[in-house]
Amino acid sequence: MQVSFESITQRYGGHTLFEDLDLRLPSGKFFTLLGPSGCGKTTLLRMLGGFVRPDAGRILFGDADVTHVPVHRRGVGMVFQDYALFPDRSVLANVCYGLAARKVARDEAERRARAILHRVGLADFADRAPAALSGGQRQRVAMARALVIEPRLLLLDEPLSALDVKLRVELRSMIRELQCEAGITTVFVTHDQEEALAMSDLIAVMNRGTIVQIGAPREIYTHPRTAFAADFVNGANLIPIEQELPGEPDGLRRVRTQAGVIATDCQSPVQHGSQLAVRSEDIRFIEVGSVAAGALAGRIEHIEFRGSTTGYLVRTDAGPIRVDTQTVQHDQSRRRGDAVLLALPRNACIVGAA
Amino acid sequence: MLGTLRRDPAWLTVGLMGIGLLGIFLVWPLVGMLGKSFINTDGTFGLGGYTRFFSDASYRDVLVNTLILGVAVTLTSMVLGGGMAVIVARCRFPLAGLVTALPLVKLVIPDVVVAAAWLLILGKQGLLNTLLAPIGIELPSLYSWWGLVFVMTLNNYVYAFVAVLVGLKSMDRNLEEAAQSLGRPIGHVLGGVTLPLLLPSLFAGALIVFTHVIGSFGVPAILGARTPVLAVKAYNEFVSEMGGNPQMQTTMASLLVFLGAGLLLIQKLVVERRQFQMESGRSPTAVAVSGWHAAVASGAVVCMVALSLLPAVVVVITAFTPSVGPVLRYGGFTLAHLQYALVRAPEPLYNSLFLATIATVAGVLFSVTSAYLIVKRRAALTHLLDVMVMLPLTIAGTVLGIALINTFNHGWLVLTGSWVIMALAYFLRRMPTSVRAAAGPLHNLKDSIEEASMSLGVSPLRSFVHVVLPVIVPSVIAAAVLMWVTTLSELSATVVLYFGGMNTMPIEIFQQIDSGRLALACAYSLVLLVTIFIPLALARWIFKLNVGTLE
Repeated sequence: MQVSFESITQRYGGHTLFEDLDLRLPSGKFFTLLGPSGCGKTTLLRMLGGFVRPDAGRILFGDADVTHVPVHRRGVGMVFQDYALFPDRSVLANVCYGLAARKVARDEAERRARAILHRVGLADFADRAPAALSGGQRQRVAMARALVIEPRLLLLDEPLSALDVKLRVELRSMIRELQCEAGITTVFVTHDQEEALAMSDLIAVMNRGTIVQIGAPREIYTHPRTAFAADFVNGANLIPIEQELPGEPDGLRRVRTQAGVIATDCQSPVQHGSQLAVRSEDIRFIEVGSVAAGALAGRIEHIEFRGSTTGYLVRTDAGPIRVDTQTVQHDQSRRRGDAVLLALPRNACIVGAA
Repeated sequence: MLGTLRRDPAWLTVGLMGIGLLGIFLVWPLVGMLGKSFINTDGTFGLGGYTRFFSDASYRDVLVNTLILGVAVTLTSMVLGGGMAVIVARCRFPLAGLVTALPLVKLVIPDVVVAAAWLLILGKQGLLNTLLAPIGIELPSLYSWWGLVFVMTLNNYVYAFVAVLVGLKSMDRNLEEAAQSLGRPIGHVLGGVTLPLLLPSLFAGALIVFTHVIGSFGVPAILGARTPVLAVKAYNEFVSEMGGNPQMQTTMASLLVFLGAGLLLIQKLVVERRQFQMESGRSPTAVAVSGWHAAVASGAVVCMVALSLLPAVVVVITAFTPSVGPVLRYGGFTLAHLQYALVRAPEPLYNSLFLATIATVAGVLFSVTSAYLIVKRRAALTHLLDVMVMLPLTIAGTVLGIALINTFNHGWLVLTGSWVIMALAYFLRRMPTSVRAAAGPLHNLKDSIEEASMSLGVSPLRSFVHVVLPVIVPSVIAAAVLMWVTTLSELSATVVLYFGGMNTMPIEIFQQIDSGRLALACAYSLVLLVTIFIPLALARWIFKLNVGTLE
């Protein structure tokens, strides 16, 4: 089922959150709303759920206008950050709850509930109380409870953010599998770019009530269109562009920055306030003294050993630049305070200001 | 204005009904009463009542007496209750645990019973005077300032104790440790860090005691013949003015309302602004004390608990003691008084049970829905409901009674002379506590639980019943028990509202004391104590509910 927002406007007090916002979520896709807290992603999700009513505009499920349909008649499944399991009911009773509301016969409801509990790997936990489960298990129950009613739309409100890292990775693949099996249109809200990239068919990057960019994970990651997306999604280094220079025979474009002239294969137009987004893992250290076009000299200010990668903060004429390298065994030569030379990649993106 | 109620007509209706109900039965009578205090005897509008009040020394003294009594009892209660709280919270010593019984004792023994018991012990013909008479000592009369302050302190120090104890327990131990680690000696830490943080609790405790004292009726009515206070004087004016111009009673009742409103304002402006959010739940540890320190501490605690329990003991003994007129023959045994209270004239018991049950059922239904609206559906409308719900806490029972009777004795809705007005008064007086009790677990209940239920296809009202109600049921039952037992002991509004044939237990006790039949008063008191104690004991020890506990 395709879901659409049509010219949504929403105000809180004197502050406008959305102004004439349009958004279309294609049928059967895993759609992620990604953004920092306060960007409006949860409000959009809650509008779909029916918990928030827009001040103006329409919400369509397929062709049907559901803007004024109350929560309990929308037929959406929702999974909450804090699980929201009914504490006084068993796991099985939690899963049966929505079926009972749909007047499904008791036996049939229990059969379906047990089947889905089996699917999420909790067949043996049906009679437990929610309090007796771990966080990951509780969120599986919540998934089972939302899916068992065969909703038209599945809403996931940061379902993984209360879990620890290892469980999060495990659960996200399970959620993705369940969603693919059911083929159900799903909206996922998160502020974690890794989660968004790992799970989604489509990502909408949001900032302050506007949608900055929509695209497949790979596109969002490799071709951010704005400085915000570049910074939020992959934490790229941003170097202000002073001027575009005439192209050269190699087909690359040249832009002038404080760090000198940098070559890029990006085709986006340069406008006022455009910046060059350079991902930290694409930057290489090259030997000091070597002559390379667009090489950037600097001094190491901070080194952070993270295990598989090592991060460097290098102070250059163009400001601080982050560099990530794969950690290799003999890679202990660089020290804080060392003068280094950085080679910038050709795939840096020209991004707009907003 | 409406918040999420905008798209929830069912709950909106419930909220509007609640506001309407309180508007008609609480706000309107109060406003009407304040209005009447400005209507002079000749029917013109003016300050005649207030002019007369402040120019006539006999009236002025009443206000002065009220304030003196309030301040005196507040001071003694804070010293006794607050001091005990400090000792118990910060020191460990044998028998310290006895204090946990105090809130329960306070609930079980109504004020009027305490007054009766101390009359028996310290009165002119009392036990102690009879014992001391042979050696020529006579105690000062209980019908005096010191008697009033003594009995009312015993009636109220538990409020101070609980308030200060809660403040001490919620204190963050890390703060004191941080101050000490920064090089401060412990004495400076207690004075410079702990005391300022405790001030809001001290102030809150003092305000509770003061509010109770200036609004209380039973004890001053029994012991304060020579020192009339506002609540009693307003009642006396009410009795003598019935049918006449109600200006003086409404003037005095209004003065009490203004006093209460002033205190509420102080509470809002001074106390709540200084409330600090404590970071951690690590409360300071109690230091073990031994030797004579421990002996003194244990002695003090035992002494206070004994003084609080003594009225019950005296009442039980006296209820079985033969009497000839007002003279009691201690040492004898008779069932005559109890038989009178239970068989010959049991109507007060039935009346009390009937009224308490009606008020509790109505109160619980109202409290659960109001608490839900106030906590879970925040909006201007439910904020108004919140303010209205808490209003009765600042209004003395006598005042509420006078306001109700002045409003509903004429016009389109006449309730005087029916049990409805009594049940209504009980409902209004005790409902705020129930709302608070139901609000507690609702604050802890996540909104998402209810949203999950709705998203699964269950309507808002049914979601409330299926998901919210089960979570708050224990607190609601506890609140219901509390409401029921405190309604059983209500005197100050009843005394204004009751009518022939509708005597309640406290009224019966009050009247028996008034006519000198203390043994009968004790028999009724005993019945009342048992009636209150049984449900409390069941709730607390069988159903493990939080009633009359320190938490």
